Amino acid sequence: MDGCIKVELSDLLIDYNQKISLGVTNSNVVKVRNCDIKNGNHAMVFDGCKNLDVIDCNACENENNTSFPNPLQANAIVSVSNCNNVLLDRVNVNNNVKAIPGQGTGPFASLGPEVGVLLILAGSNITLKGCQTNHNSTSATMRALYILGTIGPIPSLNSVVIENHQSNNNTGDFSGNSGSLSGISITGGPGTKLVNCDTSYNVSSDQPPGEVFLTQGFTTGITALFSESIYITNHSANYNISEGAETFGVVIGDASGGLVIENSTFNHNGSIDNGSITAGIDLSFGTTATGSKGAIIRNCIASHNKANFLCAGLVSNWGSVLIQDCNFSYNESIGGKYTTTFK
Amino acid sequence: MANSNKCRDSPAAGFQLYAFTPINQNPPLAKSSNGAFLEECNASNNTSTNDLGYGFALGNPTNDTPTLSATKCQVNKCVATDNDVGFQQRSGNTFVGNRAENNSTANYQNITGNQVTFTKATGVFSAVPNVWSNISIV
Repeated sequence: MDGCIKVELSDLLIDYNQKISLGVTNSNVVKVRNCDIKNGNHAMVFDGCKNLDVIDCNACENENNTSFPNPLQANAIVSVSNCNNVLLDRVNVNNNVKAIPGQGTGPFASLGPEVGVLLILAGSNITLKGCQTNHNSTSATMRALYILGTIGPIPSLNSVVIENHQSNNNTGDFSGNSGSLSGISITGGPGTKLVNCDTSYNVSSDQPPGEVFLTQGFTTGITALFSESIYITNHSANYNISEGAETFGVVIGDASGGLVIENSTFNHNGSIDNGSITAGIDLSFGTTATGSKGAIIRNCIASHNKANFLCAGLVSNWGSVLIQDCNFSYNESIGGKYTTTFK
Repeated sequence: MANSNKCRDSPAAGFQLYAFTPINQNPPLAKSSNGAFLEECNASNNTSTNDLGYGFALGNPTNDTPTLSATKCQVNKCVATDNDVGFQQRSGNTFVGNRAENNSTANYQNITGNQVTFTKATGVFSAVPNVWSNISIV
């Protein structure tokens, strides 16, 4: 449907359709209620809509669809792009994603196609309440919930609020390919708020044997880059694990100052193979020379993290950081394989 | 993309400012942590079987080039017990005005090499730079 004044859909049940099950573009008022969509390609696609409400819906299964010019949209089960005044309430996007290796773009292009199981691509005034992006697996770089705006001085994504979201039990089964896995990934989404969310139990496994130090295939509960003034409260990012790669409860960097994290736990994140880095909270991540400044981390716990190489409750190279009432204990580096060069 | 880290240190830490070598950066970028303020935090029982475990590590444990530093940081009313090193700032970096004071405790620590560390220290201590004073050994 394109260019409609008003669209109302309810009690829609679609069991495996090779094409887009529900696609609404450039429409003014869109209300979708109580729909259950199992799809061979895209369950739900919304682009350029205003006043979009999707409530009490389930969507699952996806295969790569090369008909989309944007590979991110091509791999999403549910995508919401360029929409304003959006509410997704109790929308569950679960089960399987199986992408085709080597067809991705973006910062992890060499690792395979990017998969945002639930993709929020540009737009403004977007609220997700009580949604789930669980139990997904892929051989590629996957963000269970992918919030993506424009990287630059003029943001194309504003006022995103994520409440009571779960991105749990996602698996990157790389089968020899390296990829990355995030429960929630934010790029270029300034001012995004995460309230009472859970990004635990995400696992990357099956790294190629014989590798000594892999810098690909990291696993995180939350990843945020180029996103200023992020607010995270009452978050759980525990038990994220990778086999032979970096693992973090939350990774934030690249011009993402003005950060607040409070009342949250980042425990038991770890890697179980050679040469890896683990931290409960890592503010040092970045692929550009653009640094970050200004963070408050309050009443957080980042304990019992473990890695074969470097391990910490908190790692930071930011300036002007206030850390208050935190407990970052029982972090352990278990490396015993290499010669120590402590100077 | 990969850094060569076979000979890299493998420390553990409760708080580490600055930071591990950032991922996917070779050489690492000279981004430093300045002006961190830590209050009423606990960093205990951090261990490493191949290096040292730190409660609060200020500076660059890997001595990467370019030099990475942590300056003007302050640790107040914090606890760092049963680590290999409770509070530490690494030599070879630029340290100005790092302070650990106001009844912070840091027990069961080792003094190693030219590092500024404390053994069973409690009380008020400060450093400007690499010169520590007002240390009570318990």
